[in-house]
Amino acid sequence: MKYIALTTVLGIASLSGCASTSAPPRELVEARAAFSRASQGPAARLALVDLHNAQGELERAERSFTEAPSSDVTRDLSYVALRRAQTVEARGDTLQADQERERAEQERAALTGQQLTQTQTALQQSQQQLQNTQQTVAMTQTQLAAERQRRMEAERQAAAALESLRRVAAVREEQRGTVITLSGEVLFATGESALLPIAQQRLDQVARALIDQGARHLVVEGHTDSRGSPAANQQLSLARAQSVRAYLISRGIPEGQIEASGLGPSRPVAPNDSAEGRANNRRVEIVVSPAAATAAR
Amino acid sequence: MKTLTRWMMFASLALVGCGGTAASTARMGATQAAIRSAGEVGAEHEPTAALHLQYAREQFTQAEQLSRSGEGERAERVLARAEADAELALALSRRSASIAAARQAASEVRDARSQPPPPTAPTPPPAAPPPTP
Repeated sequence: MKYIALTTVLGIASLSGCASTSAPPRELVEARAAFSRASQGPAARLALVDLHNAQGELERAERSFTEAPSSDVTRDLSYVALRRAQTVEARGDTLQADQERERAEQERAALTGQQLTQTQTALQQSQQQLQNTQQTVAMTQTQLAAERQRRMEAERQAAAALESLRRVAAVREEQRGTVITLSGEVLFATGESALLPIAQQRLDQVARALIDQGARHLVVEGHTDSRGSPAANQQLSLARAQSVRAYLISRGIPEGQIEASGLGPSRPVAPNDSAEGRANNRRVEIVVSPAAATAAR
Repeated sequence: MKTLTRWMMFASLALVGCGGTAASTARMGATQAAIRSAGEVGAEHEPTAALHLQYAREQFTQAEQLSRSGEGERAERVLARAEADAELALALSRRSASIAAARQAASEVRDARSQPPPPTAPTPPPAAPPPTP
């Protein structure tokens, strides 16, 4: 404001002083305008010394104009005053731009700092989660290894059970499962369905092996030879199967897991025309369902 | 003869008096330095600055001629014009560079503001239940 006032005073003074004689040279008019612009711009805040010097140049030109309005000296001094005013204006703009740049750089540094902090926080979270996941994976692997160990142990026990079963009975694999065949001669007296004492010993071993093999569905089938009436044979075979079933239940096999059926002479394994063949046909079979089939029940 | 000698002495004194002076070496040096500085900060690359640098050079040449022909006082004034133009060229060149730097810094701030925040770590899936034996 101070500079605007000064310029105005100078302008009015020079105009009133010379109005009657001569118009100011173009350079002086432009110098006044340029100084007025500079004194209203950033230079008035940021380049006070330069502005003061430019004012001195303008005053020299104004004095010269008062003394010799149309002289070369006045024109040259006005030219210099014009350039000084323009220079001051440019310096003001420069200093303002420099301040804006510094503020922007500070803001950017702050933003970068914030973003760095956020990134570091996110990184820490990710690392924590990775650690948690690794712990979970390690736990799962341990559990899987334990499970694998349990399965292997169970399979080993089942194989051992089957092996011990082979020692007391004929064991064969069929599509319907493992078939354990016990000779009728060993289990029962002729025409009877009560177990012989020796049969109980053998069934004890069978029961232990079946329990060791784990939960499987069992069917006890009674078979006879073809002598006698089919109805009697049917009844006898069922009674014998139920006898074996009851004994196995008494040795620890769950009741719901075991069935009994009497098939009479319907499924011979040998011709009934010889004593040996008929002896083979008089038998009890225990059909052990495959593990998958049991699970599906 | 005596009169002639006196006249000749008077004429030569008058010639010295009117033949004038050269511009000061200091002024010439200062103007040259200002022109050189403007050239060094790249005034040639900013159109308005380049124009004033051109004015400065032309006026400097003009001042040299005036100085050589003994018009020292006029040469000094032209040198003052040349120096003022050279200083303006320098100031305009610096202004241009500072404004460009400020714009660049502002643009970088905008870029930094518009950058998406770092992704937060995704929620991990729930831990798998232990396998049933």
